[in-house]
Amino acid sequence: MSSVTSAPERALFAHRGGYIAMGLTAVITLLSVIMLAQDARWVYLLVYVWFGLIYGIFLQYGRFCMASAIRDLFAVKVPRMAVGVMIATALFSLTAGLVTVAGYSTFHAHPLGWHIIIGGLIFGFGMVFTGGCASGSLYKSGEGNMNSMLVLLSISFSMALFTDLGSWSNSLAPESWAVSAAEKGMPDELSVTDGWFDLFVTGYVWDLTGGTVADWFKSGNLWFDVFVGNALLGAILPTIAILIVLYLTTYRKGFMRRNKLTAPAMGDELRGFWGMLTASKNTAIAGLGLGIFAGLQMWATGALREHYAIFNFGELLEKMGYTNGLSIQGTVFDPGYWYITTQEAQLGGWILDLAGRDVTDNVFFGLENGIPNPLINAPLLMSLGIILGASVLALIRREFKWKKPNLETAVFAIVGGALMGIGARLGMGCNVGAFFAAVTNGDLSGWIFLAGMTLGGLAGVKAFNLWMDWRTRGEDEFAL
Amino acid sequence: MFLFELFRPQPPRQPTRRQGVCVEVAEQVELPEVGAVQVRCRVACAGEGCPKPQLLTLKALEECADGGVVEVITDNLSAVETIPSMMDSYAGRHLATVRDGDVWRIYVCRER
Repeated sequence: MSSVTSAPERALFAHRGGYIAMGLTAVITLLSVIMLAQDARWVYLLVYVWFGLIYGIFLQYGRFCMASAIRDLFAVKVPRMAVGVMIATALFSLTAGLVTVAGYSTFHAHPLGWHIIIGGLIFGFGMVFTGGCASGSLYKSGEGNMNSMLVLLSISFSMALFTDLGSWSNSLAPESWAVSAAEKGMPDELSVTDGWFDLFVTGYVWDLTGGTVADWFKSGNLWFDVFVGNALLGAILPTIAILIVLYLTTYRKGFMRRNKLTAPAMGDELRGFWGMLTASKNTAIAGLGLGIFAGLQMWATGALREHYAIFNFGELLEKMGYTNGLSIQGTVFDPGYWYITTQEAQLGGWILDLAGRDVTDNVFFGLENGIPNPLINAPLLMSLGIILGASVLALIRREFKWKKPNLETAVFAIVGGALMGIGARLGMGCNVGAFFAAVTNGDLSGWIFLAGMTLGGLAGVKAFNLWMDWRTRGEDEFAL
Repeated sequence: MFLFELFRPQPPRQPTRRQGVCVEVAEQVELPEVGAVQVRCRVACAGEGCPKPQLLTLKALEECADGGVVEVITDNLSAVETIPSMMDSYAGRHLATVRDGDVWRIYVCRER
């Protein structure tokens, strides 16, 4: 016997938030039309923006957050969000498979190494304290949560500073990295043997290899490689295994208790399992939507690349006359699929550059991603789209509210965000880029990142509990 | 120091009298579909981020007598949806969630 009531119930749009949401949508539409009228090639950038809006809507609708998934699981034994993430993963592997078979996949596998699990650990630990993962912090910012905005800023600057560590950090890297980095013959304007992160990337990560399950199969039948290798073996079977573990360790006991089943038959177990999958409809629907649209985005960007005969948005920007902020290869960060953290690092790097710090002598910005003006940084505008999409839905659902951080949450946001930034750069992505987009494209390194993130999250939950106990110990209350 | 606590085994927590964020109350409230219930404890944690509302709810339930009703006041949407699901795994039952302007009032009942 439970109910959610919202009194008094009124019309869906006919209220102040609804009007603001409609206004916001109209402004974004108008700006998009103006950009297209000015130069039709902006469609490449607008694909990012509009997919971002769609992601934002689904994320807010399902409160889709990896931090919730891991934290609720370990802190309060609720598998709801973890189930939603697994549904999205299984589905995206199928849509990603279709895109790959169609020849429009923009995915690149991550190099496999220890850095992935270490990055995941640090990212997962930080995530519990900030109260949101990389994508979660975006949609929560869209709900007016200033704490999440602080997290985003902290992530952006910690990544920008971490990728541009100075000479003092050289001694922290093994000698072999410096030797290997020097052998790469990189241009002089990139000081690849100076700075820990440059040494890490050029002297360590570049020597590693990675690939997708389909790359290993290479049976000659692309459909088989992609759907059996990448989707079934790489994503769907591990997902089902995780769902079964979640069911047995969390949901089953409560289900049996509620239904007064002492000797459950197989049919009862299956009903229980289905009950877990459908326990939170919103999360499951968000998972379905994200899975489908993440595949469509890859397809749309891949098709546009073919249409404009480019490999990277940087080429298009150059043709359009924008050369500022491109990398020395003339490229910008342009994954072509859902990604979160690299573009946030670019924002931090761009601001640092504006403040007079030269960040373009490192590999991350100078060689690979560039620091384009945020107004023409397509993936960054996708992140802005996520924030605005979440705002639109939150306003319509009367859930938008400016929330100011208190001292405790602000410190957690800054410190946790910095850890998330460092973890994301070490692990070559966040919960989206290093896990979600990876495993669904048959890159098993994503499962390693998830394992690291889960262990880090578990340690974070333990530390958070201790913190709460420590704050209240010796007091006759647990007022925080 | 907080960090040292990580490595020290924790003694079992003694039940404490609740004040501040979590207060003992004795109020009658009318819940939709449920009717009148007596609220024993109120966890007021509007403005707090996850996972604090969830953990405070559990602590309040732990200290409640059987049948005691806890009212959780939060503006954290994720907590609003998680707290009812939490009752599947803990000794409790979700009675109702009522939206009250900018905050939600969630009623859970201790039940073995």
